[in-house]
Amino acid sequence: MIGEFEYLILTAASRLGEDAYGAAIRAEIESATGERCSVGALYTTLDRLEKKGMIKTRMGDPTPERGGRAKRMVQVTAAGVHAASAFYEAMIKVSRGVSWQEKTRARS
Amino acid sequence: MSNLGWDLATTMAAALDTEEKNAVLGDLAESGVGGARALREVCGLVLRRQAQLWMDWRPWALLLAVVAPLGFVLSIESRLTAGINSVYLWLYLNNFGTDLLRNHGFWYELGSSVPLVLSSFLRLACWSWIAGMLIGFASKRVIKSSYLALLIVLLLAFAVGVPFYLAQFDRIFLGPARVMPNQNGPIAQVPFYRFLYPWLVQLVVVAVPAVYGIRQGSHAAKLRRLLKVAIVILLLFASAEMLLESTKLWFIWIPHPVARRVFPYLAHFAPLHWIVYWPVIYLLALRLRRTVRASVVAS
Repeated sequence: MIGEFEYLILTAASRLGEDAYGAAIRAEIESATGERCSVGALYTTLDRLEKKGMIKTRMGDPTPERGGRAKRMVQVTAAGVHAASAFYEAMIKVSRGVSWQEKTRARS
Repeated sequence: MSNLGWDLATTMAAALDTEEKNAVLGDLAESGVGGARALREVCGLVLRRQAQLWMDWRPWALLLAVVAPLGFVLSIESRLTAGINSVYLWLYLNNFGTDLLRNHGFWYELGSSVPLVLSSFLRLACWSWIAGMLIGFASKRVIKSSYLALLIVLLLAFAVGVPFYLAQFDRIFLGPARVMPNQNGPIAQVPFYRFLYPWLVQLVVVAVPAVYGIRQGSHAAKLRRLLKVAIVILLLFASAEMLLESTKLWFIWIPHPVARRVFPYLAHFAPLHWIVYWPVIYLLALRLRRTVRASVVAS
């Protein structure tokens, strides 16, 4: 089973498709969670996912807005899709019968 | 801070692989973050990368078997060299007068002491470079951490470890010398020779050549195998010479006086004796190999 941060990266990369690379994935995660995503956490997790065979990365072309530096492009593999899907299923199952909105309202 | 932060972040990013460095700096530039945040992000990644390397056993083995002993020995030798040379420096700098220039004895003494001081510095610098090259040769992926590890070992050995060890050694083995008046006492009274000068020697004559040696050693790892073997043999011989040549360093090879007092029989298993005990290990290894082979054949 993958971790929640790995799931976030796989989902963001999957949503971005061919435009998935470091900065774009970070922006997706930050907008979804509302929390800062550090470069260190992102890049070390990308390495881990690549070692597990869940993503493939390659260096893209340099662009002017990046100061002429190349992007690290990310592509989710079949193993990545399977792992993210399994994580999602587990979250759905474990959340069945639990309404967090109601609990939040009751507490406030 | 913005430009300075970016400059520092770019410098720090040199510790990353070229591709990763480009990707990370590009991501940060595209995100439009300020210099301070860029620096923080790059530092975070560099720390994580180095920490990942240290999760393996090999960097620790390298630290304990190569970096720490060599750093320790270099620090001791640096202190001894600084101590001896400070006598000559004090003689010529603190007691200089123009009338000395007319004294034949002064010129005679200067002619013999200058080569002595210079050769001791040269020897220490060469030892440091050799030790650094050996570390650089063995480091491979943890080369950046090795720089830091050696500097920390040098600093610790100098500031904490060595004086204590030397003091113990001095007290137990050179005890009778204590009754003699210390003719170098006035030099030790001068704060420069007591505190600053040994640090300067360690920094300039040990740390700088050692760091340069690590860099050279990391490049040497890319050479052809035969050349690499020749360099390693030379480095090992030079390191052995370094450890054995200076009789003042021999106390490293015998148990610490406190340990000797607690375990009186420890002297029979002193590190220097391991060189003599190797047949025991050899015969045991042979026996073990025969047993393993016999069990493989039987199965």
